[in-house]
Amino acid sequence: MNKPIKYKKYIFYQTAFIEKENKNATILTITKNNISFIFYISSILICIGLIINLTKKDKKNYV
Amino acid sequence: MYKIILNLLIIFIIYNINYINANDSININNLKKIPILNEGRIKPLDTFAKKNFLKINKNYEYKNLDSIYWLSELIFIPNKAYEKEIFKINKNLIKILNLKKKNYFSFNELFEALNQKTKQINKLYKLNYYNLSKSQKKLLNLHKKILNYLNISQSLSMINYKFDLNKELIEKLNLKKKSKFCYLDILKKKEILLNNIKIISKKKLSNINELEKNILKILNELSLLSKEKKNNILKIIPPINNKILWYSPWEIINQNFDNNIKYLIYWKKLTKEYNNKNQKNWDIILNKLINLTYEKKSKNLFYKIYIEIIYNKINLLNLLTYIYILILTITLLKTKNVFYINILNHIKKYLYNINTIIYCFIILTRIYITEKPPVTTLYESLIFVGFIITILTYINKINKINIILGCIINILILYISNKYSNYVDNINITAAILNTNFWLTIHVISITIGYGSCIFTSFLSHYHLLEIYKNKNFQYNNTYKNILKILTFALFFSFIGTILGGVWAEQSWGRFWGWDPKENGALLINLWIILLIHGKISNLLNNTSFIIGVCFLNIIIIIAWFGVNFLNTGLHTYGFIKKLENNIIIFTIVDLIYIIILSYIIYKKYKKKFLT
Repeated sequence: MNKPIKYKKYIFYQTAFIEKENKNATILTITKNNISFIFYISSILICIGLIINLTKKDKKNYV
Repeated sequence: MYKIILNLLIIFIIYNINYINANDSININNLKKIPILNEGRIKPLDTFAKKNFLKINKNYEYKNLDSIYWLSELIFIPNKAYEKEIFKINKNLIKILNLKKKNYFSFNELFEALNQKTKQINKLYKLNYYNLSKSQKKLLNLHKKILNYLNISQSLSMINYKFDLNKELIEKLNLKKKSKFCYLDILKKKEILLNNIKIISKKKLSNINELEKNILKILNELSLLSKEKKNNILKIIPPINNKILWYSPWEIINQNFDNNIKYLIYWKKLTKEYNNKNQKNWDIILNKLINLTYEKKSKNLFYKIYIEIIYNKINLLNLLTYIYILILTITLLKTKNVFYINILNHIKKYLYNINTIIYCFIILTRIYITEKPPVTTLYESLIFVGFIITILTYINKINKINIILGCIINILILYISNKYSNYVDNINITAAILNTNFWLTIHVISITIGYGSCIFTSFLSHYHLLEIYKNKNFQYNNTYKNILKILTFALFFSFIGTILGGVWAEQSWGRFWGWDPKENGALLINLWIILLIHGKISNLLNNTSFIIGVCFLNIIIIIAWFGVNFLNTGLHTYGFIKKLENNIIIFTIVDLIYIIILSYIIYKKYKKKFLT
């Protein structure tokens, strides 16, 4: 669970496990994400917006 | 500052008055200092005793005595403890088990009653727990509690259980002359016994003499006792060679750790002194045992154990609740005398400051003991949210409204945490799905700060709604501006927390978003605040409808924080929700009624104002 395997562009991680007497199994999920940079860019943009909103002294628009 | 410290000291002393020792037993309070590995962390025996006693008695005191007295009786003289009526059980269970009605039951009574239901219980174990009826669940839980009780009582059975040996056998085994022997005594002579078995096995039944018959009898008893060898609940023996695992007394015997037998010898001596009620010898032996246990451990462990014992004893969270109730009462008092008003104001502020210091102390202590951020369980996040709200009241200026709101919210939070959680040993290590301290710290802390500020701003808007309803010539004042400020603050932390969760998930699982119930809950909070703020900026929402919108934030937080746990799916399901269901529903309904009725009245009264 804490150590996903990265193979080429795929990531294998453990999502669940089955524990029975003498029979143990692990369930893996395989993901591939080529556009993860979009997430980071959008997050940074929203954060900048939030900081501007938080530090803005003049809140005339609101009241 | 010195006044605050002085006040703290006085409260500490008043609160920390020791119980009078009403029992005829010796003073065994020092036994609390023995460390034990339980539920993933090393804790004092005191915490272990309190937690287990609370499970069966729903109380943390045993006949006005600390629960360590109960534990010591259970492990040192189990047969006596089996007869003590300490089990508190549900009325339905009394009917199911055909027991006579009374408040408390002994282990023996319940054990017998449960034995008659063995078939039924075995069937229940095979079924899915969540599909069971309430009474079935209770029966199953009682069975587990009884087994746990039995396990604890057998932890030192290699010392407690006594064998009768005749003179011949005593001589044969070269034992010191006394009437009864324990497993540990006979264990030393294991080789002699094994050699004898080899000889006996070659003989015919008719040729076996009295002595050999006795040997066989003892071996039979030993093998019966060895069934208890699997017992490893009381892990009180420290690890060998700096390993992490601690051992239970039976594990030491099973794994032939001869070096650690010395611990068992001390425990044996302790048992003897406990039975003899010899206080002097008890203290000497216990001190030696404590020194031996901490011998190769860091001093840090000793301090941690000691601090946890104090933390357990003074139960600061209860103290906090009482002080908050006191502050609330003082704040709501009405007098016209200026002198009294001034005095009351000073007292109120002092007490509020003291409570904040106690809160800080609680959070820091928990961080020190667990070495984790103070938000690893639902219980901890509750306390942390309470703390955040207290801090927000300071940022938002200490005035009457903020103090009242801070007190009400904190009393609610502390009530929930005390009532629905195991408030003795609530320092639990949760097996985090992703056991990464760094991400856990920043993600969960920012989300929790978000929760705290959302709850505070929502309560503030509840108050503001009441203000609008009361005043005819109402004008939007500072409270309104504060709601806006804190709402932006809440959005900032909720959003950052959600994003950090996404980054954490991306690094570990390769995906940002899994549409997990908790993730959806976090998204719901963010979307609701964004909706309100955008509605305000674009003038689609007027001031009053904006305030009403913020009031609903409480319900959304409840859904996102507790509600998602009811679904029982997803990676974030944790915490105590079994008994909370009804209360959450009641809270939501009451809150909805409050908001809807007030909004309706305001709409009717000030139609024009409401619409502008």
